[in-house]
Amino acid sequence: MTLTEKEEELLLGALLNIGEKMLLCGAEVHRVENTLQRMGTAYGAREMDVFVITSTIIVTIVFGDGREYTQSRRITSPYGTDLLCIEKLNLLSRKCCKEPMPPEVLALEADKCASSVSLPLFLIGSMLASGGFAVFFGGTLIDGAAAAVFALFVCLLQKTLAPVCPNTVSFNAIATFLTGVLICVSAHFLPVLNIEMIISGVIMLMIPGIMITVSMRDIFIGDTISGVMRFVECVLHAAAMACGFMLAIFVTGGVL
Amino acid sequence: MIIQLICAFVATLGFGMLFGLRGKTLFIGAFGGLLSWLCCLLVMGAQEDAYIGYLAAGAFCSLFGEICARIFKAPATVFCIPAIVPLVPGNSLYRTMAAIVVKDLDGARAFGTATAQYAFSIAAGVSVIWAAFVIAENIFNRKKKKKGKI
Repeated sequence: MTLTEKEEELLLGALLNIGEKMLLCGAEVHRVENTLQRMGTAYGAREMDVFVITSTIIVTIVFGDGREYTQSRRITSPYGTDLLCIEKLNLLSRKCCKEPMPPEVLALEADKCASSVSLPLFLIGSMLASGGFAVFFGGTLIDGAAAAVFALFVCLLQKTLAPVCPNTVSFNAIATFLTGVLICVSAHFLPVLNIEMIISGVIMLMIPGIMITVSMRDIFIGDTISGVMRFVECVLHAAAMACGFMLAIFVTGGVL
Repeated sequence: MIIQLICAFVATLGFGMLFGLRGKTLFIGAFGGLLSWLCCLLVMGAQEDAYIGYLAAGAFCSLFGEICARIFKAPATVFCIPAIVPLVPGNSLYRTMAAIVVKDLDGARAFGTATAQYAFSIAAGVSVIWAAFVIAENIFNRKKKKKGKI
């Protein structure tokens, strides 16, 4: 596919958008590098240098006629896990590698790949996850039901508190403190509830367990900088959560 | 054990919804969660070592992801990540915190180390299978290229 100079610049921007989206959806660093590499090559790049870490993407494309473009993208938004979006972007890249589409169409198609979980699914998912884990860790069905109800409170905080918090660390600390206090006070009035099982169930909604696994895998497969960055971030998130719950247990010490 | 497996399925289903999975992929992911926990329980029972159990379960998740990716033409992550969900050591993290609160520092150290080791075992299991698949794919691609040249 022969591109004009303007199209080449547009292509680079579209590739950076795709890479950024993949990272924010929780894709591994090597997957992002690999996808951008393949896509660039499919568009006729003679050389593709892609450098991705969790906070930055730098791409240099050299086309056949020697024209060279470099752009970087700073990633500041918090990471999430959106597997549907990763799947859509993967399909788009496969389609593109098979039959490259004009860069402006690629940019539009990439924009369409956003997926947002609807509110009912978000609530049901959180309740199932939290309730399921409370019973999974050894709680009774009542603990499971209580964990599902407290999950709704966590959802409320995620929707209202998270957008106004400066970062995930502060959100985790405040959200876990409030949730912890609510759980401990409820357990005081309803002794049938098992605090340990309920907190263990609710904690699963916020614990960066998947991210820790991904970060360790990044380290094992050679993406050391990204792995270490992600790992440190996860440890900070988990520590903030622990501080929040610990403070809640201290504050409601008499209840326990 | 059956209750745990059912709960692992339900919890993974919930997380699958939060991860944006839909329809067939959601249920396959949840089933992966059930199987990964079954694998963990069986290996833990046979080896009497929790870390080996988590290592094997991590390897299973990666294998499950790679196989499903080839069958359903989707990235392995889409199937591997939900399968890992039941293995995340949330309970041992709670116990670490609880031990710190009651100033049981030995307990906190033990639970904290166990939490980190579980995460390490899962990641090691996942990475081993991933590396094996990459090696196999590279060998396959080389052979294909050689055939093409001939």
